[in-house]
Amino acid sequence: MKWVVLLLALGVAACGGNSGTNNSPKDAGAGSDASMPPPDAGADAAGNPFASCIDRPDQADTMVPRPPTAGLPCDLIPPTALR
Amino acid sequence: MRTGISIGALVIGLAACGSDPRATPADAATSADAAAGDPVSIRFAAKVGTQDFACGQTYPNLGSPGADFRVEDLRIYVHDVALLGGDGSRTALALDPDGAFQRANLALLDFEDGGAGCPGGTAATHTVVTGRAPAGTYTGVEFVIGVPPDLDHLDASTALPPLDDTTLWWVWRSGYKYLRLEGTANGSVGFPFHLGATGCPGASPVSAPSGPCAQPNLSTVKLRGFDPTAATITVDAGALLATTHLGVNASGSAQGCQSDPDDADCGPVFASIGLPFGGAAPGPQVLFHAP
Repeated sequence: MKWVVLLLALGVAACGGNSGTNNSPKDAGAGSDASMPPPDAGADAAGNPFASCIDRPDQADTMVPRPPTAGLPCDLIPPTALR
Repeated sequence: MRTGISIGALVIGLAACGSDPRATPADAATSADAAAGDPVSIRFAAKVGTQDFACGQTYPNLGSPGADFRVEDLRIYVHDVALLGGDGSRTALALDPDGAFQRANLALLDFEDGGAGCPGGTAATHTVVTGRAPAGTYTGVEFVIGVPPDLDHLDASTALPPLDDTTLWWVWRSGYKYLRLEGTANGSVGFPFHLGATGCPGASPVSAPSGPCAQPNLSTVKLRGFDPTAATITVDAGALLATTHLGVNASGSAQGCQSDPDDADCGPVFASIGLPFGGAAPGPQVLFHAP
Protein backbone atom coordinates (compact mmCIF):
# COMPACT_ATOMS: atom_id res chain seq x y z
CA MET A 1 0.00 0.00 0.00
CA LYS A 2 2.92 2.33 0.66
CA TRP A 3 3.95 1.87 -2.96
CA VAL A 4 0.51 2.90 -4.11
CA VAL A 5 0.59 6.08 -2.08
CA LEU A 6 4.11 6.86 -3.21
CA LEU A 7 3.33 6.41 -6.89
CA LEU A 8 0.14 8.46 -6.58
CA ALA A 9 2.15 11.24 -5.04
CA LEU A 10 4.79 11.00 -7.77
CA GLY A 11 2.15 11.28 -10.43
CA VAL A 12 0.69 14.42 -8.93
CA ALA A 13 4.12 15.88 -8.33
CA ALA A 14 4.89 15.46 -12.03
CA CYS A 15 2.31 18.13 -12.72
CA GLY A 16 4.74 20.72 -11.52
CA GLY A 17 2.95 21.64 -8.38
CA ASN A 18 0.83 24.33 -9.96
CA SER A 19 -2.52 23.66 -8.40
CA GLY A 20 -4.08 26.99 -9.25
CA THR A 21 -7.10 26.99 -11.46
CA ASN A 22 -6.42 30.41 -12.76
CA ASN A 23 -3.78 33.06 -12.83
CA SER A 24 -3.50 34.83 -9.55
CA PRO A 25 -1.87 38.21 -9.74
CA LYS A 26 -1.48 38.19 -6.02
CA ASP A 27 0.76 35.18 -6.40
CA ALA A 28 3.10 37.06 -8.66
CA GLY A 29 5.51 37.33 -5.81
CA ALA A 30 7.95 39.98 -4.81
CA GLY A 31 8.41 42.66 -7.35
CA SER A 32 4.74 43.06 -8.10
CA ASP A 33 4.30 45.68 -5.46
CA ALA A 34 2.70 48.77 -6.85
CA SER A 35 4.86 50.86 -4.57
CA MET A 36 8.00 49.86 -6.44
CA PRO A 37 9.76 52.86 -7.91
CA PRO A 38 9.39 53.90 -11.52
CA PRO A 39 12.30 53.30 -13.86
CA ASP A 40 15.36 55.43 -13.37
CA ALA A 41 15.41 57.64 -16.40
CA GLY A 42 19.10 58.17 -15.94
CA ALA A 43 19.99 54.51 -15.93
CA ASP A 44 21.88 52.80 -18.68
CA ALA A 45 19.32 51.59 -21.18
CA ALA A 46 21.43 48.54 -22.05
CA GLY A 47 20.04 45.65 -20.07
CA ASN A 48 17.55 47.86 -18.35
CA PRO A 49 14.14 46.22 -18.28
CA PHE A 50 12.59 49.66 -18.55
CA ALA A 51 14.51 50.68 -21.62
CA SER A 52 11.42 50.52 -23.79
CA CYS A 53 9.78 53.00 -21.46
CA ILE A 54 12.76 55.27 -21.36
CA ASP A 55 12.93 55.22 -25.12
CA ARG A 56 9.55 56.86 -25.42
CA PRO A 57 10.09 60.28 -23.92
CA ASP A 58 7.30 61.65 -26.10
CA GLN A 59 4.84 59.82 -23.88
CA ALA A 60 6.62 60.19 -20.59
CA ASP A 61 4.64 63.24 -19.51
CA THR A 62 1.24 61.61 -19.84
CA MET A 63 1.91 57.90 -19.38
CA VAL A 64 3.36 55.94 -16.49
CA PRO A 65 5.43 52.76 -16.43
CA ARG A 66 3.60 49.56 -15.72
CA PRO A 67 4.39 48.40 -12.20
CA PRO A 68 7.40 46.11 -12.56
CA THR A 69 6.68 42.44 -12.28
CA ALA A 70 8.78 39.46 -13.12
CA GLY A 71 8.20 38.18 -16.62
CA LEU A 72 6.62 41.30 -18.01
CA PRO A 73 8.25 43.71 -20.40
CA CYS A 74 8.05 47.32 -19.49
CA ASP A 75 5.26 49.28 -21.02
CA LEU A 76 3.92 52.73 -20.59
CA ILE A 77 0.30 52.63 -19.57
CA PRO A 78 -2.30 55.31 -18.99
CA PRO A 79 -2.56 56.55 -15.41
CA THR A 80 -6.19 55.48 -15.55
CA ALA A 81 -5.03 51.89 -15.45
CA LEU A 82 -3.48 52.51 -12.06
CA ARG A 83 -6.27 54.53 -10.50
CA MET B 1 -1.55 -7.73 -8.26
CA ARG B 2 0.59 -5.20 -6.46
CA THR B 3 2.11 -4.13 -9.75
CA GLY B 4 -1.30 -3.57 -11.27
CA ILE B 5 -2.46 -1.44 -8.37
CA SER B 6 0.76 0.55 -8.48
CA ILE B 7 0.50 1.28 -12.17
CA GLY B 8 -3.11 2.30 -11.68
CA ALA B 9 -2.16 4.72 -8.96
CA LEU B 10 0.52 6.25 -11.14
CA VAL B 11 -1.94 6.67 -13.99
CA ILE B 12 -4.43 8.35 -11.69
CA GLY B 13 -1.76 10.68 -10.43
CA LEU B 14 -0.61 11.60 -13.91
CA ALA B 15 -4.21 12.14 -15.01
CA ALA B 16 -4.16 15.25 -12.89
CA CYS B 17 -1.83 16.65 -15.54
CA GLY B 18 -4.46 16.26 -18.24
CA SER B 19 -5.88 19.76 -17.95
CA ASP B 20 -3.87 22.93 -18.10
CA PRO B 21 -4.03 24.56 -14.69
CA ARG B 22 -4.34 27.92 -16.42
CA ALA B 23 -7.62 26.90 -18.04
CA THR B 24 -10.83 28.32 -16.64
CA PRO B 25 -14.27 26.69 -16.37
CA ALA B 26 -15.17 28.59 -19.53
CA ASP B 27 -12.38 26.79 -21.39
CA ALA B 28 -13.67 23.39 -20.33
CA ALA B 29 -17.25 24.23 -21.24
CA THR B 30 -16.26 25.46 -24.66
CA SER B 31 -14.16 22.40 -25.39
CA ALA B 32 -17.20 20.23 -24.73
CA ASP B 33 -19.50 22.43 -26.83
CA ALA B 34 -17.04 22.54 -29.72
CA ALA B 35 -17.45 18.83 -30.28
CA ALA B 36 -21.05 19.26 -31.41
CA GLY B 37 -22.63 21.03 -34.36
CA ASP B 38 -21.55 21.90 -37.87
CA PRO B 39 -18.37 23.82 -38.61
CA VAL B 40 -18.92 27.56 -39.02
CA SER B 41 -16.49 30.22 -40.20
CA ILE B 42 -17.11 33.93 -39.78
CA ARG B 43 -14.84 36.04 -41.90
CA PHE B 44 -13.65 39.55 -41.20
CA ALA B 45 -11.77 41.97 -43.43
CA ALA B 46 -10.13 45.15 -42.18
CA LYS B 47 -10.55 48.30 -44.19
CA VAL B 48 -9.76 51.95 -43.89
CA GLY B 49 -12.68 53.47 -45.72
CA THR B 50 -12.80 51.71 -49.05
CA GLN B 51 -9.19 50.57 -48.97
CA ASP B 52 -7.76 47.45 -47.40
CA PHE B 53 -6.01 47.90 -44.07
CA ALA B 54 -2.26 47.52 -44.53
CA CYS B 55 0.39 48.02 -41.90
CA GLY B 56 2.42 51.16 -42.47
CA GLN B 57 0.14 52.52 -45.18
CA THR B 58 -0.90 56.14 -44.99
CA TYR B 59 -4.52 56.94 -45.72
CA PRO B 60 -5.43 60.51 -46.67
CA ASN B 61 -8.18 62.66 -45.24
CA LEU B 62 -8.99 60.50 -42.23
CA GLY B 63 -10.88 61.88 -39.25
CA SER B 64 -12.35 65.32 -38.84
CA PRO B 65 -10.76 67.57 -39.87
CA GLY B 66 -9.04 65.23 -42.27
CA ALA B 67 -5.49 64.09 -41.66
CA ASP B 68 -3.01 61.81 -43.33
CA PHE B 69 -3.01 58.78 -41.08
CA ARG B 70 -0.48 55.94 -41.14
CA VAL B 71 -1.92 52.82 -39.51
CA GLU B 72 0.32 50.73 -37.28
CA ASP B 73 -1.88 48.22 -35.47
CA LEU B 74 -5.36 46.74 -35.46
CA ARG B 75 -6.31 43.97 -33.06
CA ILE B 76 -9.68 43.37 -31.42
CA TYR B 77 -10.90 40.87 -28.86
CA VAL B 78 -14.46 39.67 -29.35
CA HIS B 79 -16.50 37.24 -27.29
CA ASP B 80 -19.90 35.59 -27.01
CA VAL B 81 -20.27 35.17 -30.75
CA ALA B 82 -23.78 34.10 -31.73
CA LEU B 83 -25.63 33.46 -34.94
CA LEU B 84 -28.96 35.21 -35.36
CA GLY B 85 -31.96 33.70 -37.07
CA GLY B 86 -34.59 35.51 -39.03
CA ASP B 87 -37.13 34.52 -36.40
CA GLY B 88 -35.22 36.39 -33.72
CA SER B 89 -33.44 33.33 -32.41
CA ARG B 90 -29.91 33.51 -31.08
CA THR B 91 -27.58 30.52 -31.34
CA ALA B 92 -24.24 30.60 -29.56
CA LEU B 93 -21.22 29.71 -31.65
CA ALA B 94 -18.96 27.30 -29.78
CA LEU B 95 -15.51 28.50 -30.75
CA ASP B 96 -12.76 26.09 -31.72
CA PRO B 97 -9.95 26.45 -29.18
CA ASP B 98 -6.84 26.74 -31.34
CA GLY B 99 -4.12 27.46 -28.84
CA ALA B 100 -3.38 30.77 -30.50
CA PHE B 101 -6.28 33.10 -31.24
CA GLN B 102 -9.35 31.41 -29.80
CA ARG B 103 -10.06 30.25 -26.30
CA ALA B 104 -13.29 29.57 -24.42
CA ASN B 105 -15.83 32.06 -25.77
CA LEU B 106 -13.13 34.55 -26.75
CA ALA B 107 -11.35 35.27 -30.03
CA LEU B 108 -8.70 37.75 -31.02
CA LEU B 109 -9.11 39.36 -34.43
CA ASP B 110 -5.62 40.25 -35.54
CA PHE B 111 -5.29 42.25 -38.74
CA GLU B 112 -1.72 43.45 -38.35
CA ASP B 113 1.14 41.42 -39.71
CA GLY B 114 4.01 42.99 -37.83
CA GLY B 115 7.05 44.16 -39.71
CA ALA B 116 8.21 47.73 -39.96
CA GLY B 117 4.67 48.93 -40.61
CA CYS B 118 3.26 47.51 -37.39
CA PRO B 119 6.28 47.27 -35.06
CA GLY B 120 4.20 46.33 -32.03
CA GLY B 121 2.68 43.29 -33.68
CA THR B 122 3.60 39.91 -35.07
CA ALA B 123 3.48 38.24 -38.47
CA ALA B 124 0.58 35.98 -37.59
CA THR B 125 -2.93 37.22 -38.33
CA HIS B 126 -6.38 35.93 -37.49
CA THR B 127 -9.32 37.11 -39.56
CA VAL B 128 -11.64 34.11 -39.50
CA VAL B 129 -13.44 33.06 -36.34
CA THR B 130 -14.23 29.36 -36.40
CA GLY B 131 -16.57 27.27 -34.32
CA ARG B 132 -19.55 24.98 -34.40
CA ALA B 133 -23.28 25.56 -34.35
CA PRO B 134 -26.39 23.59 -35.21
CA ALA B 135 -27.30 23.56 -38.87
CA GLY B 136 -29.77 26.30 -39.66
CA THR B 137 -30.56 29.41 -41.63
CA TYR B 138 -28.82 32.36 -40.12
CA THR B 139 -29.32 35.97 -41.12
CA GLY B 140 -27.04 37.82 -38.78
CA VAL B 141 -24.39 37.69 -36.12
CA GLU B 142 -23.89 39.13 -32.66
CA PHE B 143 -20.78 39.47 -30.56
CA VAL B 144 -19.28 41.65 -27.90
CA ILE B 145 -16.17 43.74 -28.42
CA GLY B 146 -13.83 43.07 -25.51
CA VAL B 147 -12.75 40.44 -23.03
CA PRO B 148 -15.39 38.98 -20.72
CA PRO B 149 -14.92 40.04 -17.10
CA ASP B 150 -14.05 36.53 -15.95
CA LEU B 151 -11.06 36.48 -18.29
CA ASP B 152 -10.15 40.16 -18.19
CA HIS B 153 -7.90 40.21 -15.16
CA LEU B 154 -5.44 37.39 -15.67
CA ASP B 155 -1.67 37.53 -15.61
CA ALA B 156 -0.76 38.12 -19.24
CA SER B 157 2.73 36.76 -18.65
CA THR B 158 1.32 33.31 -17.89
CA ALA B 159 -2.18 33.30 -19.38
CA LEU B 160 -3.20 30.98 -22.19
CA PRO B 161 -3.42 32.42 -25.71
CA PRO B 162 -4.83 34.70 -26.93
CA LEU B 163 -4.54 36.39 -23.53
CA ASP B 164 -0.77 36.03 -23.35
CA ASP B 165 0.12 39.11 -25.38
CA THR B 166 1.43 41.73 -22.99
CA THR B 167 1.09 44.41 -25.65
CA LEU B 168 -2.66 43.97 -25.28
CA TRP B 169 -2.63 44.27 -21.53
CA TRP B 170 -2.38 47.08 -19.00
CA VAL B 171 -2.22 45.61 -15.51
CA TRP B 172 -4.26 43.02 -13.64
CA ARG B 173 -6.73 45.43 -12.14
CA SER B 174 -7.55 47.15 -15.42
CA GLY B 175 -7.04 44.07 -17.56
CA TYR B 176 -6.70 43.83 -21.29
CA LYS B 177 -6.85 46.29 -24.13
CA TYR B 178 -9.94 45.05 -25.92
CA LEU B 179 -9.04 46.91 -29.04
CA ARG B 180 -5.73 48.29 -30.18
CA LEU B 181 -5.80 50.60 -33.18
CA GLU B 182 -2.72 52.71 -33.60
CA GLY B 183 -1.39 55.15 -36.10
CA THR B 184 0.35 58.43 -36.72
CA ALA B 185 -1.38 61.53 -38.04
CA ASN B 186 0.32 63.93 -40.39
CA GLY B 187 3.63 62.19 -39.87
CA SER B 188 4.10 63.22 -36.28
CA VAL B 189 1.07 62.94 -33.99
CA GLY B 190 0.62 59.47 -32.56
CA PHE B 191 -2.95 58.35 -32.10
CA PRO B 192 -3.39 55.04 -30.30
CA PHE B 193 -6.90 53.93 -29.46
CA HIS B 194 -6.77 51.42 -26.64
CA LEU B 195 -10.17 50.34 -25.45
CA GLY B 196 -10.55 48.60 -22.11
CA ALA B 197 -12.28 48.61 -18.77
CA THR B 198 -11.66 51.51 -16.40
CA GLY B 199 -12.68 52.37 -12.90
CA CYS B 200 -11.85 48.90 -11.64
CA PRO B 201 -11.84 48.90 -7.82
CA GLY B 202 -9.06 47.48 -5.71
CA ALA B 203 -6.23 48.48 -3.45
CA SER B 204 -3.45 47.62 -5.88
CA PRO B 205 -3.15 47.79 -9.66
CA VAL B 206 -1.22 44.53 -9.58
CA SER B 207 -4.06 42.58 -8.10
CA ALA B 208 -7.35 41.57 -9.64
CA PRO B 209 -10.13 44.06 -8.98
CA SER B 210 -12.22 43.65 -5.90
CA GLY B 211 -15.46 44.17 -7.80
CA PRO B 212 -16.95 45.06 -11.17
CA CYS B 213 -15.30 47.86 -13.11
CA ALA B 214 -17.26 51.10 -13.18
CA GLN B 215 -16.82 51.36 -16.94
CA PRO B 216 -16.62 47.85 -18.39
CA ASN B 217 -16.68 49.40 -21.86
CA LEU B 218 -18.04 46.28 -23.53
CA SER B 219 -19.89 47.03 -26.73
CA THR B 220 -22.36 44.58 -28.27
CA VAL B 221 -22.43 44.40 -32.04
CA LYS B 222 -25.47 43.11 -33.92
CA LEU B 223 -25.35 42.77 -37.67
CA ARG B 224 -28.38 41.55 -39.59
CA GLY B 225 -29.55 40.95 -43.09
CA PHE B 226 -26.83 38.65 -44.39
CA ASP B 227 -25.54 35.11 -44.11
CA PRO B 228 -22.75 35.37 -41.54
CA THR B 229 -21.42 31.96 -42.47
CA ALA B 230 -20.80 32.97 -46.08
CA ALA B 231 -20.25 36.71 -46.25
CA THR B 232 -17.35 38.77 -44.96
CA ILE B 233 -17.83 41.35 -42.23
CA THR B 234 -16.02 44.63 -42.75
CA VAL B 235 -14.01 46.16 -39.93
CA ASP B 236 -13.65 49.79 -40.96
CA ALA B 237 -11.03 51.70 -39.01
CA GLY B 238 -11.76 54.76 -41.12
CA ALA B 239 -15.38 54.83 -40.00
CA LEU B 240 -14.33 54.41 -36.39
CA LEU B 241 -12.06 57.45 -36.61
CA ALA B 242 -14.26 59.54 -38.90
CA THR B 243 -15.28 62.08 -36.26
CA THR B 244 -11.96 62.20 -34.39
CA HIS B 245 -9.48 65.04 -34.68
CA LEU B 246 -6.42 62.88 -35.21
CA GLY B 247 -3.95 65.70 -35.73
CA VAL B 248 -4.30 67.22 -32.26
CA ASN B 249 -4.14 65.55 -28.88
CA ALA B 250 -6.21 66.94 -26.04
CA SER B 251 -3.96 68.95 -23.76
CA GLY B 252 -2.54 67.08 -20.81
CA SER B 253 -3.99 63.75 -21.83
CA ALA B 254 -2.38 60.54 -22.91
CA GLN B 255 -1.79 60.10 -26.61
CA GLY B 256 -4.91 59.34 -28.57
CA CYS B 257 -7.61 57.66 -26.53
CA GLN B 258 -6.61 55.12 -23.95
CA SER B 259 -10.05 54.90 -22.39
CA ASP B 260 -9.40 57.53 -19.75
CA PRO B 261 -12.86 58.85 -18.78
CA ASP B 262 -11.34 62.31 -18.53
CA ASP B 263 -9.68 62.28 -21.95
CA ALA B 264 -11.68 64.37 -24.41
CA ASP B 265 -10.06 62.47 -27.28
CA CYS B 266 -12.14 59.47 -26.31
CA GLY B 267 -15.56 60.99 -26.89
CA PRO B 268 -15.75 60.55 -30.68
CA VAL B 269 -14.25 57.04 -30.81
CA PHE B 270 -16.35 55.81 -27.92
CA ALA B 271 -19.48 57.05 -29.64
CA SER B 272 -18.41 55.38 -32.87
CA ILE B 273 -17.93 52.06 -31.18
CA GLY B 274 -21.28 52.20 -29.44
CA LEU B 275 -20.20 53.16 -25.95
CA PRO B 276 -21.26 56.01 -23.67
CA PHE B 277 -18.62 58.51 -22.70
CA GLY B 278 -18.96 61.11 -20.03
CA GLY B 279 -22.53 62.29 -20.20
CA ALA B 280 -22.87 61.42 -23.87
CA ALA B 281 -25.08 58.58 -24.94
CA PRO B 282 -23.53 55.96 -27.20
CA GLY B 283 -23.99 56.26 -30.90
CA PRO B 284 -24.50 53.31 -33.20
CA GLN B 285 -21.25 51.41 -33.60
CA VAL B 286 -19.75 51.89 -37.04
CA LEU B 287 -16.58 49.81 -36.78
CA PHE B 288 -18.19 46.58 -37.96
CA HIS B 289 -20.65 46.42 -40.77
CA ALA B 290 -22.32 43.75 -42.80
CA PRO B 291 -21.66 43.47 -46.53
